Amino acid sequence: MSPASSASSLGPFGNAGAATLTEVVAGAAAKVLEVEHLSVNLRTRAGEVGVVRDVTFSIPASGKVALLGESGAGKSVTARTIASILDPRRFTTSGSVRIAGREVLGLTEKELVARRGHVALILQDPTRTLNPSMRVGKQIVEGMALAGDLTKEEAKERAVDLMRDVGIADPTERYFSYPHELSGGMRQRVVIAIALSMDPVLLLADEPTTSLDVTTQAQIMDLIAQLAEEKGMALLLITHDVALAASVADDICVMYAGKLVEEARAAQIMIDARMPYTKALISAVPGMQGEAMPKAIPGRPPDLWALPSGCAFHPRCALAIERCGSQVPPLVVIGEARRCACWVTAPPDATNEEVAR
Amino acid sequence: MSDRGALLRSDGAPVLEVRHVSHGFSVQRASGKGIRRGFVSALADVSFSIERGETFALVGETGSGKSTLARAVLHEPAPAEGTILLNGLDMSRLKGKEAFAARKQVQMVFQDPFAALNPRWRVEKIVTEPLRVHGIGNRQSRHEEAARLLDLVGLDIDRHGPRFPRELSGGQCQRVAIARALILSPALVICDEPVTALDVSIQAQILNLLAELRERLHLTYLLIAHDLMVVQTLSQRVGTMYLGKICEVGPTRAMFDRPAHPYTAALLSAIPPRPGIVTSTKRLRLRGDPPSPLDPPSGCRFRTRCVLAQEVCAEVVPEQQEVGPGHFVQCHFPYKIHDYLAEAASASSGTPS
Repeated sequence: MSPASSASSLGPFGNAGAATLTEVVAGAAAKVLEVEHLSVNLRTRAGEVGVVRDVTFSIPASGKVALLGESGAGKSVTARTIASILDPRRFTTSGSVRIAGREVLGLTEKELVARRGHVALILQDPTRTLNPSMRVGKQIVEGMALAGDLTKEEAKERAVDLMRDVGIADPTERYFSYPHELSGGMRQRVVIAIALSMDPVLLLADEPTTSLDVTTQAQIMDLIAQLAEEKGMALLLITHDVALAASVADDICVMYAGKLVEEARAAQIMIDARMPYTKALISAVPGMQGEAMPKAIPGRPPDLWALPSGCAFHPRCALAIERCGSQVPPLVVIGEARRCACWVTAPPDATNEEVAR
Repeated sequence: MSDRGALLRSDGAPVLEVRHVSHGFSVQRASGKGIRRGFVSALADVSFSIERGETFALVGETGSGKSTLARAVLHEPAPAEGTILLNGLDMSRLKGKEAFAARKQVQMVFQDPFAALNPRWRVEKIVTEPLRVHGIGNRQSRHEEAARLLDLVGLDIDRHGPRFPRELSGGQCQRVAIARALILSPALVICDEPVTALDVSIQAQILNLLAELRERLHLTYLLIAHDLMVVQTLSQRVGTMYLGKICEVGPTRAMFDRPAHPYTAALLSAIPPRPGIVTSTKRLRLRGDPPSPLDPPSGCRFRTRCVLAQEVCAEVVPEQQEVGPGHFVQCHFPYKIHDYLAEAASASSGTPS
């Protein structure tokens, strides 16, 4: 962990806010992201439903963490909460999200605008992220223009540099392209260039390669990991792909039905997952047991409106005991950077500390 | 085996035989310099066959022609050149009622199960539609068939039959789509990315179901998938497509263990590493995107992205050559990619990074 590297990346582009931010990040042992007891409820006509329930995790400077889970696990909502782009009319949040030590929940629109750019979000589908009727160069410059520290020429120069950084050939020519003139991989590169344009300290990548071809997937994932390293950014990767998560991230947080159910080092989780859901998820991936057929998880992901009592996974779990159906297992620390919520495989005792309900 | 149709295996009568199929589309594209007319060659001299009870998989990037090939097999549209034999029968020679009846032989399972099912029909009506279209049975017998098929795919006619697709989960919808594809007892089922749209835990359920049905009903699948791990678990043979050509075809295990074509090697190298699988060789990354099919490269179509490319690759279209039992490749330098990777690996380990 060398947090100092992030300071250089801000370079001439750091405005007053970013400069203090740099100092905070450079501060010893600072966490870039701290999420504590985060809960997010979705408001609907039929009432409120919890989509993220009491999630706590953090990312150290230059750290890479993956949030792993199936649809409805709450991983994307967590990312959107961190990026402060949830619609406040539809979602209510509680708990705390701190980026470089500063709280981002409950900020006003004005405060948010001043803070935008510290966190960048890369979404799954570049076609929907980009404006189809605006030249891509202009879209890269847009954020920089809002910050207002650069002249037009300087901004354009920087945009071209960024396009070169993300591996777009002929950036001066491509600057004037429209999104439809580019391939899917190129479009995602443009999105990454936009993400980098504000020198973020934290890069959120929500299924960044799911809509791309296999070979392009590998290119884009390599690029994101490499840029995060070079520029000293922390990375939060949101994915359903265990193998991808393990190959990119240092730490993996597994989510199920809105709750964080297991955290472990990437290398550990593949060989020694504790939570039965994580184990089942890994064996459900084709190719994980060589040529054997993947093992299906019985049942289906839970309905957030009618969550099972106790551990949300217990109706699908082969190890479930009576207690699993009645009491929610606490997320307990079971080792260095390891947490697990399971009555059977990680029963809480005097030696492990309860960190979340 | 110098015949260009060497991909055809002579033993037994194949369910599907694709012989020298080519197909293209004329396109008009507005660009900055006015309207450009061109001809996209989507399939170029493709040949392969599928035996009864076998699963043959096609892999390749977007635009490689996988879906055009599937549509050619369905004769929607029929291929411009070449022949496609289904149980030895050339569908393009059939007309009228015969052609209509022959279509029963091929059914399809699509990627997005919600989009593939009529949202305003109940499950039973969806599943029995092929029977009604072909005028088979009466109301009672169709209901019985639907009950049998739904039971096969793990659904229940009384519980799920009266429901609408929106009342089912993605996995259940895919089960309905599979039941509909099987109700005419087709000779060939084309599965076009059958699990791509589903959650990981549901993917495994559907893959297991497809494998189980294949055993029980002796089904023959043409599997189109981009996930090579799905291909590995489900198929016995696989063909790699690049820009409308099959560049390598062979037994899945042989090809995955030791691919002969650099493109197959690149596809395999793009998979995030699995635990326990030691990857001693350097990861192979393709640069850029596939070239436009409007103007495919001369010689070997893959040469513009190939690390092994030599002059000969630009000049001569590589001939089909047999590199193992039932394993064919179109490359001037088969297996050379492994030497290249080993050299690259030893070079990078020799110098500190």
